Amino acid sequence: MLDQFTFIGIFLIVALIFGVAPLTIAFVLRPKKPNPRKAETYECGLQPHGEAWVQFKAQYYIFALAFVVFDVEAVFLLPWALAYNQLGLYAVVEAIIFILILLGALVYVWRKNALEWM
Amino acid sequence: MTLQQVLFIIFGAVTLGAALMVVTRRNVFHAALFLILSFFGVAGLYVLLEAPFLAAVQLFIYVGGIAILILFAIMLTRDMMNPNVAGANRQWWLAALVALALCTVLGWTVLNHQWAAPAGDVPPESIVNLGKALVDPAGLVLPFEVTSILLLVALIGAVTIARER
Amino acid sequence: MEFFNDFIANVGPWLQGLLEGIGLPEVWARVIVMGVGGIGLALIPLVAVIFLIWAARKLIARMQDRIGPNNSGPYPGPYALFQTFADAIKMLTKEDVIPTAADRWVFNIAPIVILTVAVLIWAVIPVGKDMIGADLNIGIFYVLSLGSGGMIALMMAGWGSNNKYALLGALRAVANMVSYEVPQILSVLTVVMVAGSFSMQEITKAQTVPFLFVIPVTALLFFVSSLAEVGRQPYDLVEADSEIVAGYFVEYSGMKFGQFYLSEFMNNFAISVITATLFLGGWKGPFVDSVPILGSLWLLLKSLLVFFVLLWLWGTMPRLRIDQMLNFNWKFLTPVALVNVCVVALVGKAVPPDADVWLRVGALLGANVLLALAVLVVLAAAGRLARRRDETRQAAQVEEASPA
Repeated sequence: MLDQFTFIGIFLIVALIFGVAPLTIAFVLRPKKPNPRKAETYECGLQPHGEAWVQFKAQYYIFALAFVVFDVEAVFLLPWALAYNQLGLYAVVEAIIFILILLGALVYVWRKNALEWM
Repeated sequence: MTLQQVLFIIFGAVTLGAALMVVTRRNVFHAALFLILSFFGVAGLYVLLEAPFLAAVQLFIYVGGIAILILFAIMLTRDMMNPNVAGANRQWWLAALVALALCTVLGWTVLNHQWAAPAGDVPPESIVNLGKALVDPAGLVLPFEVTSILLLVALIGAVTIARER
Repeated sequence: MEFFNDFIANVGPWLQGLLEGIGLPEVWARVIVMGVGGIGLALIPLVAVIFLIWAARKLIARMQDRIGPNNSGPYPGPYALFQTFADAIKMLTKEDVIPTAADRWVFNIAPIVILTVAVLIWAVIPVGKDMIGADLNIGIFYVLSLGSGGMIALMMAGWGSNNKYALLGALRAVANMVSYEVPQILSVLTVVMVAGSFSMQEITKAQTVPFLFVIPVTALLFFVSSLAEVGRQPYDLVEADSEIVAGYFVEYSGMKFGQFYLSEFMNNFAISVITATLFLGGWKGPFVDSVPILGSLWLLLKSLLVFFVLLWLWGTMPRLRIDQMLNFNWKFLTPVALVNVCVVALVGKAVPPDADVWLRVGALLGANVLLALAVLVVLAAAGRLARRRDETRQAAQVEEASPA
């Protein structure tokens, strides 16, 4: 198994080279004429107005949080799915209870209108 | 010095170095990015311990979920581009004392304890065994079901807190 | 001739024998062989993307009743085959403008990370019978974990640009990608249940009948959520070309932009190949046992078919809004995915394990069709309920507004 990860390690180095190579070629080939006008922040051609922060929106956070909860659930179900062929019916019932509790969580969040993108 | 030892030193150095940068950077976004780097280091350590499933879970949940949560929380806070927060406040000497004490206790424990030797090779079917243990009535089925209730409670709590204005 | 029948699998040991013959120790020979294999594997998406960008532009143009790139100038070649090369040269020679207050390190690292992640996926894709970079026992899960790396690169790009539109675009893109990972991993869970392994090679070998015909609802779920993951039409809003000026990579110019563009097409091709491997049978096809190199050809044809479906959706469907996309995910795809897992688990156990393969396939297919019908019935009922509620509300408003 570690042998295969050796390949992944070598492939990682190859992928990094592939990621950096076009940039180095471009670095050699491109013109370099910096100009303060060019370096202004892009705002559809107008002067940039105000700082670059965004108004707080709780919605972004709720979606990421719901993702983490379902993510952890899916990760718990992964070993079960792998052992599925060697397990009996009781294991399926236990996993269905697990899924139903989390389906309940989804319905709760839905009914509380926390999934609306305001 | 086998290849495994070299890799362990590299991954350990990456993890610890990134963790050090997390607590010393002024720019919070950079600190979060170094945290992600240390997560990658930990994933590498898992691979060295022949637990590729845990490495993938580490990447999937920590980098793909928790780091994203942290980044969202940082980005949605005002004035993050130019933090004028001082690096340390006036009680730093007390904190240094406590940290030193903790370090001494931990170091003494680690160096003086008789650690048990590893129990042999990792079985090739470790993920399948984990799956079977998770639903085994004599195994981990109770923690398995309680985890789902824990996740339910976490989600309800988060929604309740975020909804009160 | 025998050598060429199984070309890729034979080249490795041959090269190793050659290097050991020169006198290199065995470890170094293996490392060099792996390096050459890695370079070859990384070249596959690069070369494929060059062709696919051209094919995409031509096909989309035809769908929109125009010609697309053609050989009207001196350079693009017959049928504009060299258009992509012209684009690449243009991107390489453009000046790299970095905004004044941008975070240099973060700004510069983002395109590198995103291209590296797009190439790393190819290590676990079986390109033929016994031809795979590394047959990890966590194959498909490795692919999903790398998607998280892509998300981090996106956040870095949005933040490093010091531009509120880039930041907004990056936040929406990440909220989107993160939401659609849930049905994606749940559908992968179903495939793993039916196939019995994470390893992509094992999943391919377990498909005596392509999984598209065994668990079609899962195939649909996976395809739809993967489309949203890579940001392809109709989930195009994160890079809506004509609307929000390229979203999170608006401040990038030259080859850095080129790398984002390239990584996007590589991801599109990667999900076509992964869908073909998981659901269409990968490298399986006629004559594969005797001439294993044909496996690569079958995989290529199947993934081109899936890519064509992707292009078809791209050219035909309108763009969805962010709230429509998130509603679709959390209120439709995730519950359906969860119920799908339950249904497949129950049906899989209901059929005795030593029964005929066709009985299993038939039972799973029947259960999936019933599930799809049930979902449609529930949707219709919900739609009717919402419509009736709207009508009563409108009637109440008309009554209030009419002069008393």
